[in-house]
Amino acid sequence: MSSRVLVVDDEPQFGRLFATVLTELGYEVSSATGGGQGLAMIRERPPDILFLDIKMPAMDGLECLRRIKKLKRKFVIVVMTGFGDIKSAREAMRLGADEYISKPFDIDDLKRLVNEIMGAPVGSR
Amino acid sequence: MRLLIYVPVIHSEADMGTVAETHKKEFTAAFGVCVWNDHIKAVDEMWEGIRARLGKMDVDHGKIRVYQDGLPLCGRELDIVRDVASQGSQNHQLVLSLVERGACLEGTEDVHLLLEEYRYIQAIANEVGPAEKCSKAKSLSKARKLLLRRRDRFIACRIDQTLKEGETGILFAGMAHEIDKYLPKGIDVSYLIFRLPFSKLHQSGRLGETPGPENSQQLKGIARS
Repeated sequence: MSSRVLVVDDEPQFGRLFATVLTELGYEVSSATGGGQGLAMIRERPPDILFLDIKMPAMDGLECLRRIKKLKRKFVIVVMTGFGDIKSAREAMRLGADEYISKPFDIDDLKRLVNEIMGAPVGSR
Repeated sequence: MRLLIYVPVIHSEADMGTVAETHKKEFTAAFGVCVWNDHIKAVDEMWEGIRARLGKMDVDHGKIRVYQDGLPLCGRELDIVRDVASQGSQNHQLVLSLVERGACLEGTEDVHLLLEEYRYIQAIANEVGPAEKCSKAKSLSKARKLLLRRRDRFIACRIDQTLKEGETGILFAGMAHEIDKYLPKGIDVSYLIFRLPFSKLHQSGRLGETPGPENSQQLKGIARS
């Protein structure tokens, strides 16, 4: 069974990018365009890795993290931000995020990160 | 205009000095060698990313001042950076490469405050087992947090005193620092983040701790002077 990646980002093109890149590597990718939708998807079927954007309308990534913290989660959370500020990084760290990456990132960096998290060498999946 | 590029970092074991070996032993006993190696790899990649992003910046190195957390104001700053860099610290290797291209290295911390932090680290390291270390760290956490704020104020003050109009400062500081809170309004701050592997801090129990272990290495430099 392939590992599952969930992308929560209000820019739908990000979800599509992840799907294009990671499906090729054998991952099952789904996406949500808001925190509320993302939380519902997590409750229904938890992913192995969650990519969570910080800056989103309605429920932002940090609020989403606060709510995820209340769940007994066993998945890895990677917080993404386009405005890499240290305040959101500190808060994400305190709320239990495992990784914090800033946009834009290279496709190779994304592949490397996902494979690293899933414990597989690059190109082996 | 005065600009400060704030680079938040996760310190590696190469920065930790004398307590690194004990830390590695305890960590691998708890989580295994594979997890340890993953952590080392993640931190190495963070440094490679920071190095690449700084390398892309179009700047006149003659107008850059470099500030490093844990680096005491002692007149031997460059010797200390060279020493720690030669022991494998990617952080200090990057600082050294900036200096070699013409940037000016500034001492950042008050020696007395660093020694105070070093004593706390030693007190924790001297405990026998992980449970005892954890309990000691807990009992000292409030005092260390207050000390960290005093260190942050000192660093902010040093930056304000040394960074001149038209210059750019590059500050490398561990995640627990909040130096930006104490900077005066006349300094514009921008953040450079590539990736921050927090999982390392969560698993090693270093989350939220004051960034001190790297100081033991840098304080060794002073002790030898």
